[in-house]
Amino acid sequence: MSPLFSVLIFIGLAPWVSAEPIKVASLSTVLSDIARNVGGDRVEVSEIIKPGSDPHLYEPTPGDIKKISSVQIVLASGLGFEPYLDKLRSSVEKSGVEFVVAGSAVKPIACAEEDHHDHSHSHDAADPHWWHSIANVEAVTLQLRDAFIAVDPDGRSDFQANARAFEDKLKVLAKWTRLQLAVLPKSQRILVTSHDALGYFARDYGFQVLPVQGISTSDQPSSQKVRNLIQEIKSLGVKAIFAENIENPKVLQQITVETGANLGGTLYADGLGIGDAGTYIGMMRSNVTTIVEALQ
Amino acid sequence: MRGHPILRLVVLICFLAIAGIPVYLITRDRPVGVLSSGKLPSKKIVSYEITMTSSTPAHLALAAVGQKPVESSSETESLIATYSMDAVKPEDLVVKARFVSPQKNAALRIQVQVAGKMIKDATLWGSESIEDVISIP
Ligand SMILES: [Zn+2]
Repeated sequence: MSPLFSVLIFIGLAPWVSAEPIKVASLSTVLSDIARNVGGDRVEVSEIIKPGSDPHLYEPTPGDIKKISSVQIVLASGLGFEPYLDKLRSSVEKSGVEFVVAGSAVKPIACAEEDHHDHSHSHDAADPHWWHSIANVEAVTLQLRDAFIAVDPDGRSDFQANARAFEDKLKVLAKWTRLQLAVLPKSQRILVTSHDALGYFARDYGFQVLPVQGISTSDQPSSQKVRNLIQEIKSLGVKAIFAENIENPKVLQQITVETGANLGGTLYADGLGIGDAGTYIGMMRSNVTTIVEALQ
Repeated sequence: MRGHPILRLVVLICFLAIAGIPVYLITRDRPVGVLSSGKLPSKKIVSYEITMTSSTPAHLALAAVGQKPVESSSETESLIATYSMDAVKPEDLVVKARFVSPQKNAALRIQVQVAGKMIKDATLWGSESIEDVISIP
């Protein structure tokens, strides 16, 4: 503790200078970023899921549960993205921690058909990858603002101002995205991806998603499924296919060889990355740039 | 079950065959080349009449993938262009306005008509300039 802060405590001014930040644990790298933007100095975010890690393979450890028990708010994506959520909720119930589930603030879209989807993780009927729609992130920004105000009413004006500033940035991002994608003919707006994570993006910008079934798991997609996909890629004249951090390069390679499509680069499908893609805005810019460069 | 063993066997085979039909229909692999999402919808080219109207004099510009960009040669309050595009998947319109005298809340209205029927009517707001994308339904 700084000498200045000790003096301020002594004369009773510390609460004016800096209230104790709200302790938040986040089960999503995207939610961590939104929380930091909305919360600013009034919120301390513990990242349970770290950037670059695979949230689908995550299971809470005893250490994580202890950490989550000590916070005031837990941020979760919902819509089935965290299959362990109910168990976690009951195991930290006594601590009085509040769960803020982003999925309840967005209008979900249905998951892709079963024959295009072979995750090893459990997804509900709704597509849980809500953050690929900027409009959804705007809605969740307001949800976090209200959740923080409920816990720290003194921070109301700060949270409101921070949320407005982040919304403005999201609006700039949304316009930038529209302008970038405008160069892509509608007929070329086809995303062949490792798994079916970009449904919200596809809906917002008129893309068709063709996920490679089974490629995100240890299970191989059936040869018939791969043949069907290859046929579809050929008939649609798809220029490029996209890798993700969870993938089976062998199958992707087979598809590129047989279809003549290029490998279009890596998309951030299940959360933030590191470096430039370490923020929500950076991640979206990276994905959009990769898609436009590959499909143009 | 009573009756001749062969008759019982025939009845059992018939029962299994009938019970198996829905299972087969649900679980069968779709044949290559009949993927619903893989079918290319046939193109239908129609004329889109696009009208840009500015609340104050501005340099106006309009573009779309595969179409000739249109730009006003001097400041104007309206710009009209006709683009022939596929009605199944019409391309997005990139609209630009640079206002001669920047002001608060200058408006740019974009109207899209097909055969005299309005299919899109959007207004964008700005101060010095506007640049955005309009999607056609
Ligand atoms: Zn996923």
